[in-house]
Amino acid sequence: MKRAQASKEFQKFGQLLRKFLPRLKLKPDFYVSVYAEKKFSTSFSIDLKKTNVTDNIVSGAVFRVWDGYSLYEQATDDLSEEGIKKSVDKMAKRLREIKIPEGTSFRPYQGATWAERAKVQLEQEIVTQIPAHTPPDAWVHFGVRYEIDPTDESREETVARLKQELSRIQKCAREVGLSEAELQYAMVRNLFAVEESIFIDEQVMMSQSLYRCALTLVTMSGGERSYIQEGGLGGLEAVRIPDKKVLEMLSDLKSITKAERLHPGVYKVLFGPYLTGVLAHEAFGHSQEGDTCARGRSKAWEISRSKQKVGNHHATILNNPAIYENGTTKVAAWGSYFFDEEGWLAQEQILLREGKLENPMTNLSSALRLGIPRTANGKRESWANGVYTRQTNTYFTAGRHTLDELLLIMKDGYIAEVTAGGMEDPKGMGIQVGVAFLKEVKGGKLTGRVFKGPAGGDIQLTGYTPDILNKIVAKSKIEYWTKDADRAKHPFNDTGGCGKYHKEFVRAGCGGTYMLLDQVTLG
Amino acid sequence: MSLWRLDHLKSKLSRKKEIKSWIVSTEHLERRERYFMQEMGKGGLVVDQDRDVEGEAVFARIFVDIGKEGRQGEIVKRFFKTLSLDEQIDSAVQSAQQTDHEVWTMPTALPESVPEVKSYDPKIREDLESVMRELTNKIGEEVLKKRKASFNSSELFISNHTRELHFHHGGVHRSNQSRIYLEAAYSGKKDEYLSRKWAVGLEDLSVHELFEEAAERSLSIDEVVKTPGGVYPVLVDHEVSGLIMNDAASWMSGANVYMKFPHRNVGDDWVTGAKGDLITMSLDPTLGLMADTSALSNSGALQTFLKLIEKNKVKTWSTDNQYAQYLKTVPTSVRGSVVVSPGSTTKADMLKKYPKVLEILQFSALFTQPTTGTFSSEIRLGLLYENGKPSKFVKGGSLSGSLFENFTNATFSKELVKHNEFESGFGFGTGGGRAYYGPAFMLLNDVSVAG
Repeated sequence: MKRAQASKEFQKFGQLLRKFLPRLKLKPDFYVSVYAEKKFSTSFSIDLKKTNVTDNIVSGAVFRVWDGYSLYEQATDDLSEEGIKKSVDKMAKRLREIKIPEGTSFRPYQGATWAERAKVQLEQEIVTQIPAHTPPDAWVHFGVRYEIDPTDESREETVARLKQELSRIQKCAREVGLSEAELQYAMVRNLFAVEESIFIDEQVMMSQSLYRCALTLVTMSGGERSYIQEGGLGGLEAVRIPDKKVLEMLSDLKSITKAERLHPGVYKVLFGPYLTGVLAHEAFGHSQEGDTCARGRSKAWEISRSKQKVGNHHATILNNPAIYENGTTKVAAWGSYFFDEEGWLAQEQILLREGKLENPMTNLSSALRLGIPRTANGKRESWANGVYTRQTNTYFTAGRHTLDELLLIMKDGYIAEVTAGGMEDPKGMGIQVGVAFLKEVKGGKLTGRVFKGPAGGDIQLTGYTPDILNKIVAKSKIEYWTKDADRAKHPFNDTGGCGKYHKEFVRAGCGGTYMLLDQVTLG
Repeated sequence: MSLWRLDHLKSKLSRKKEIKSWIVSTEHLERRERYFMQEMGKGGLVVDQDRDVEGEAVFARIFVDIGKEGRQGEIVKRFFKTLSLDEQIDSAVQSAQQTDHEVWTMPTALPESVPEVKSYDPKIREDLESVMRELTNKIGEEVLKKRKASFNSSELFISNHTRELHFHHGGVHRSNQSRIYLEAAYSGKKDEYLSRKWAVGLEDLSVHELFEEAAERSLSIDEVVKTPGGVYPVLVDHEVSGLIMNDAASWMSGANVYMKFPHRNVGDDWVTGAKGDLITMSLDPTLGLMADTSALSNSGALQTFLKLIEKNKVKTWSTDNQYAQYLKTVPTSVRGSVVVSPGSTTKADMLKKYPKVLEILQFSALFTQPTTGTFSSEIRLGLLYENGKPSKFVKGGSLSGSLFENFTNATFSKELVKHNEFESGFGFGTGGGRAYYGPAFMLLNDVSVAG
């Protein structure tokens, strides 16, 4: 396995940014830092009518000052020395005009040294990349591991690979009995991104390089759609899709064009791993985001102080940006990184332990306001957007059953494996988890009947979050297909995204294992 | 470090022999953001974050010959000023040569006369900082007002976007846009309510109304009962109809026709067997201070008012130059606000139309599937009316609907409102958002609700 290397040019640019930090330290109490990113992405897509490509680059720098009361940021994508100077001067002028608001508390902060950072439990994947006795003015670089170098693949090879994928879809469509006329649309898209970022404060200088790969297959018949997306951080090994999955996608497409309509009601449902992850993300997920708690917008903060239970013993939810081997693969999970956009090192965190809430995830300002430890959840859509507490990979812990055992436990009910979005309600404790379609199970076996929502669209699982988390009956193992003990350390986290309160999008992993829920409302 | 200028890019694109034609779009952004919250345990108003953003994006859409009869290559690429221009152009051409599209030709010149459209607020354009101060003061005043509900947080974003479209034929089109985003969250005893609004001009934003709505509705949630399941006439507001009607417009898109996605043909009924208020829908790019107010399309075609549906009959497709050439039809407008003609009824009369009506005050997240015309969401807050009178606030459960089943006997209010939504981030072209101008309320028939 190789690692993505640091860009010397970008680190050199970091040195330039560092030079400007003293200009912003107008008072000794000011905590001054800078974050910069350079993200190249190329997306090739092929459908039955065209081959398309989009090249993008998102690059900018954000100077940051925490004055003990508020976080001030100055963001620019003019990365010339003159542009940086102009930006810093503009920020300094703004900082000189700060008036301390009445009735607010002073919460000073200074950065953590490498020695202080080493005191917490970190993944070996991180520890081994930090040289011993690193001084504050030396770079520490983190690079993602990969097996098949995605930078080696030429454009011609990418297009050829996608054409093969498109042919495979057409071949598999014939195998499942979908005619050429029925398969109205088929599209294959390959995303490859090199995402580099740096963080500098008075104590540390760090950089990271991530390779992000994803392969998406989309098919349509009439207005109905079926898709697969495989991806992760690493090399091209992240985008291998076995024939079995393509056949399943096309069988599903065929089935949903003939789907019946679900009568709204209360049912037993077996969630697949991705839907389990969406449930985790929307449940104590969003309610456990520190900025939401600090704003008085989450019930979880009150509940966690009262020690009240919000789920049964199956309800254990983690957030973990440090998943460098996703499920049984050697690829890092979609929402992983080595440090967040405020320079905090990635760590596993338990948000809900057997129904009891633990501390929320935080970004810098929410950790200081709530008086709880920082976690590596300070994320933003891009350099041009503000930082919030955002989720990374959110998932339920694994159980002990195989999938076949769970089907027998359920006996009669539905399997739901394809997600159709979700939404949080941190204060009201409601939840919405969208399901694209349901497959009926009778006597522990699939009947072949497929159901869509009451109006022919998506189905929504809704309810009061603690009620739903008290209805978890059982969970599968990570390796749900075998009775052997799990070898994987973390459940598989799928490729997802999050648009916290409708506004700004970040990548996020969602995962878990199969989970059986009893008596939940579907409509 | 390379720092090229726009004229360098244009001249190199024009000189590159592999390039047939090109369009360059630029956007300069200046944005101020403030995130306000209640100081924990003290009640004072604190600014959690204060941000100042300045950025510039340069995108080029480049067309190349790929040596196949009737086909061409193209790419949309973002160019970065600190990277080598030659390397970026070479890379773009090489990528474009791997693509494969049906050939089409761009207009050879811009229209002789391009009308002025009101796409920005001059006050924001002239002095964004003073508007930020003014609105910050208003937020401060609202937070200090004595209300039964507790203030949680607010966010205020104000931005100016200066855009240019440069064409290989030498034409240049300049446009401006202003954007304001405001949200406020208040808590009652048990729950909270978040009100949010996007606007282009200050005249369409009332800080007081938004804060008042959030505070009042947060108290309503304290009184809720669980939504009883059943089939209801459902009253939705402009936030919902804005999304659904924009989806609906995509069924008349020439791109959908070409791709063989579900669509309606000219002369078709929009909703089969519709009675009640029959829909009349248009695209209006000239409607001022809207998220998609634009004089030209991204390929430089003049955008004018376009009637898509008249009284439930599809009149035309919305087709830009590219898809019109593919479909061998006449190009039409593709930009603009989705405008739905008013009905003749008041909200009060709509609520009296049936013994029970469920009014949706807020969905948790309305997910729509444009290709099937279906939509669904959890109900965050609703109000059940019996015989035209408010009966109880409801929360929870989900609604499941369809454009083609729940608009068969719909009623539209005569009151019209504007609704705008923007997404963040830079993109190629003139950067429109989603805009709706139409009935403030729509009453849908026979909607399934899971309780």
